[in-house]
Amino acid sequence: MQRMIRNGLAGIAAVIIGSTAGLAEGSDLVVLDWSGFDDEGFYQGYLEKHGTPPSYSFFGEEEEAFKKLRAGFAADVAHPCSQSISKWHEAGLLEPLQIDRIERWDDVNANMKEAFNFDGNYYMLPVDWGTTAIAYMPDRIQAEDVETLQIFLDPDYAQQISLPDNVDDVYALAFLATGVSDWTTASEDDFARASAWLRDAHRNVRTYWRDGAELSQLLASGEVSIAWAWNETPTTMRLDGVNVGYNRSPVEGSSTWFCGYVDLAGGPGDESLVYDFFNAWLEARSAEYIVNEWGYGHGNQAAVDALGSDVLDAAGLGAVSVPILFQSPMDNSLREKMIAEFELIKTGF
Amino acid sequence: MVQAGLFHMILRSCRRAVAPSPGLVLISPPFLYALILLAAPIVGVVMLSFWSQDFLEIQRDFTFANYQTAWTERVYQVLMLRSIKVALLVTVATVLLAFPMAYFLSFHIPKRRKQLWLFLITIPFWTSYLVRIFLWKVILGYNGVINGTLTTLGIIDEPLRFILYNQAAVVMTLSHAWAPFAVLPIYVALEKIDRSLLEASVDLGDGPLRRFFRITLPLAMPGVVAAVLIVFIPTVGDYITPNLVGGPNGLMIANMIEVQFKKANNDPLGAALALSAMALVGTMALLFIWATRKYLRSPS
Amino acid sequence: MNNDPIIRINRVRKSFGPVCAVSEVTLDIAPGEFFTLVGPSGCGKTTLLRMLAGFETPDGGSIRIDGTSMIGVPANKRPTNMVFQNYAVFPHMSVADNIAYGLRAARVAKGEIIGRVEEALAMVGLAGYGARSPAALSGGQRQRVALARALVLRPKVLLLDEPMSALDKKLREQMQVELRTLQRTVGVTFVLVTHDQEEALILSDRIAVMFEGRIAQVATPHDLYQRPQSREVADFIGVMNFLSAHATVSTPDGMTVEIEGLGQVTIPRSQAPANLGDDPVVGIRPEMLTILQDGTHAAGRSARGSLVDLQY
Ligand SMILES: Nc1ncnc2c1ncn2[C@@H]1O[C@H](COP(=O)(O)OP(=O)(O)OP(=O)(O)O)[C@@H](O)[C@H]1O
Ligand SMILES: [Mg+2]
Repeated sequence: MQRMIRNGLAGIAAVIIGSTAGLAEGSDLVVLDWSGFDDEGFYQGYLEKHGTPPSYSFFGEEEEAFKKLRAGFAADVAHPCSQSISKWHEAGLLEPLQIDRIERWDDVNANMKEAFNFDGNYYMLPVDWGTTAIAYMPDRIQAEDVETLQIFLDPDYAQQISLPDNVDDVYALAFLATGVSDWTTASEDDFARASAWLRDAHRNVRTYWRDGAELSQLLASGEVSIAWAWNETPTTMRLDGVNVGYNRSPVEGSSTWFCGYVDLAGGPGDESLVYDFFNAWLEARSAEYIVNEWGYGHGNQAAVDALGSDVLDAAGLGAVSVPILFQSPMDNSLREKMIAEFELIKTGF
Repeated sequence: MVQAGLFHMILRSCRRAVAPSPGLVLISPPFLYALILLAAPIVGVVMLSFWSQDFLEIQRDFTFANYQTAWTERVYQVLMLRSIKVALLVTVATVLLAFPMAYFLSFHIPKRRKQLWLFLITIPFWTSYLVRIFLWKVILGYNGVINGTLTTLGIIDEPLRFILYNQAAVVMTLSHAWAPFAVLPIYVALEKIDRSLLEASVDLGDGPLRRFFRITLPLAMPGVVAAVLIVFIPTVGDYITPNLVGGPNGLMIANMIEVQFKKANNDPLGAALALSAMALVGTMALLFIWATRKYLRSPS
Repeated sequence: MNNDPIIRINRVRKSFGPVCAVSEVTLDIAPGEFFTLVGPSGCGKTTLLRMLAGFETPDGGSIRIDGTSMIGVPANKRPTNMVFQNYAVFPHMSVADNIAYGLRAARVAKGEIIGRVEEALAMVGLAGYGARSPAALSGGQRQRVALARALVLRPKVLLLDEPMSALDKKLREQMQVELRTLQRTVGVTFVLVTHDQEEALILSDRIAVMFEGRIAQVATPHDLYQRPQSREVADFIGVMNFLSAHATVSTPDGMTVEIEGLGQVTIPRSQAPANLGDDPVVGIRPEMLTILQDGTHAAGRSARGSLVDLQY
């Protein structure tokens, strides 16, 4: 999973500032996180208790973080997304969560936390999630045209669509479009059908988008009219006054992804800081903040529900009645095949 | 830190062992630095390319399988050829763009202003390469500068889509980015040309055009060759530009190498692809130098 | 061959910004002549030569070569060729290609080129050197290449800008002899620029002495040496002692002057222009003086002195 960097330049600056900060303070909590996630709105409780924020070190891509940790970078917690956890776990980077030290563990979204229950141990604290569905420009596209995912194959919209340059989101789309809404049970044939569908869609793709800022620009400039997009993109575009549609209910369904914190094995900091940090994240004010300011869902399901369906629907996070492909971890060998196949498709094979 | 310490140790022991000539002392720090930072990783990559990987485990049994895959599978062949094709186009476009600039700078700018002009040419480097790519998107985009102008002038009704997100856009963006790198060596070569040679050519009966092809261009060849190599070699391995403006069919070999090292968990294949690309580029560069050798002999 | 001048320079001027490099030069050069421009550094010799070649455009005046006005004629269309100070031998071409350069520019047939290049190489004593790279040649050999390259085109006028200045003394003397011989053999008009007055005297049929953009005197080497028309020319050419004098008698045959410390000396009219006034300066070449033993002196042509110092 590749996260939006709100603004490419801010991301670069943040990396530089972040890494120097990390060097300056040695003994406290070290967080390896996505660029931009050092937003104090996420962990006010921690700030109030300790007075200083944790030391952040940033990454732009999970593989980058993975390589960094494998090379011996010492951090206490990190923030990967659902598809990476198994790999990190297999690499021995994670230690199990002590759920009795997590105050609101029972409020945490059950689907998400159970996805990383390995032999009775939990390995990931889900904190942020979002949806992936059809974003479209209503001035160029009729709402009824985006009632089906097959619009991505429609030659009338050739060169007007953009798909994510992200194997999970792209295959979520392909599986949904070929009638599979749970990829953990997908067969070889399902995979072959999804890949064939993606191959067809590739012909219509103008470009694969890499981050939310790029996608906003593609849509707003008229470069593309339809995209398989994260909910945050329409949310932030609307804040900028752009009229953009977001349909999470095409007949075939749409997708949900999630990310969370993991406790890294052998972190240099005090474990109690780790749990102070987790607990701060799970507070209701953090949930409210991330939904309203960032357009993401939050791992504290109770706090999210408390915001009311109006707020959630507006952010593209509400309940829908179509199938939802939940991006839970899948068999590593299927995922490896997906990765290889997607690269072939992008190269034109 | 460890490397620096090691390096000091080596240096100290060198000093003790022999009384080195001052030249050796002067050259050895950069040499060791280059050795540690350049040679060591390459050795690592070479070794890696003969191993294999099973998900996360590297298997240290010697195998040629990675090279076999790299050279025989269609997708890698296609990407390699595409990278070379794009790099060749970029190189030709860049040199064609840079030569007139260097020529103008060398022959038509008064001496005392040359410094200023050289400085002006470097201005694009004040902004990050990413920002420059984004600017190209603004220029080439659907409602960008070019389409906007053409639409306003009534030349086109619908914005053109073929000018962005394809290989042509990659070529254009990279040629612009490389131009200053190409201007400098060509400029230096042109500056080195003894002006009396140009006068001699005219004196012996050549007009400006024939003089250019018989004297100026051959004597500027060392600069042109340098420019070609400076542009061609790194372009084959570029992966940012194809990602950002290449569109669905603009990906190049370096994108695939990145994928192998990251998502695909196949570092050995990534290493084999990288070394294969390096070997291919190296061979092409050497062939080019060989083909142009008669212009590269330094006079006197 | 008629005797009209091959080069007619009439009131030619050239300034570079505020610097007046050549001012109002008028000069005729005869066909087949070895003509030299000599003068101190910066006096405009090169500028004048470059105007003949077509590399500089005069601000005013006219230049005619072989009866044709050169105004607006570019360098590559002029019947002149040049030997540059540093020879300007093309480093990326063999000796033969250098010499063939102008022939190829003139689109001379291939077969003819080979023959003429051989001939030119032989003429400058470089037979067999055709395949060499200029980098493998000595300074003197490079100069010969430059000469051959220009002469192979059979120009009406050959322009040479300080061709000897890059050579060591010994080689220079040898090349001077060869250059003179070569010029006699080919019969081409040579215009040579030098600031070495000795070289000018050895080589030239006629010499023009330039000072600050002006021509001070044009004469044969002999006349220039024997009858300099101004003090600055006399000072520039050879060594000259200047003595102040007072005219006592002036007749159509000559002039008698009273030189301080030397007494009365009579100078023939050919060496004493009429308009000198009462207090001329007298110049004496040192080699014209002979030191005599005490008492054996010729009246009116000797003066008493004492030996103060002796250098070899
Ligand atoms: N291209 C030019 N731009 C400006 N000034 C020039 C240029 N060429 C010559 N001059 C000036 O014109 C004057 C005459 O120069 P020129 O080169 O003709 O002298 P020269 O007699 O050949 O001297 P030298 O014996 O040193 O070669 C000098 O004052 C020189 O500085
Ligand atoms: Mg001169």
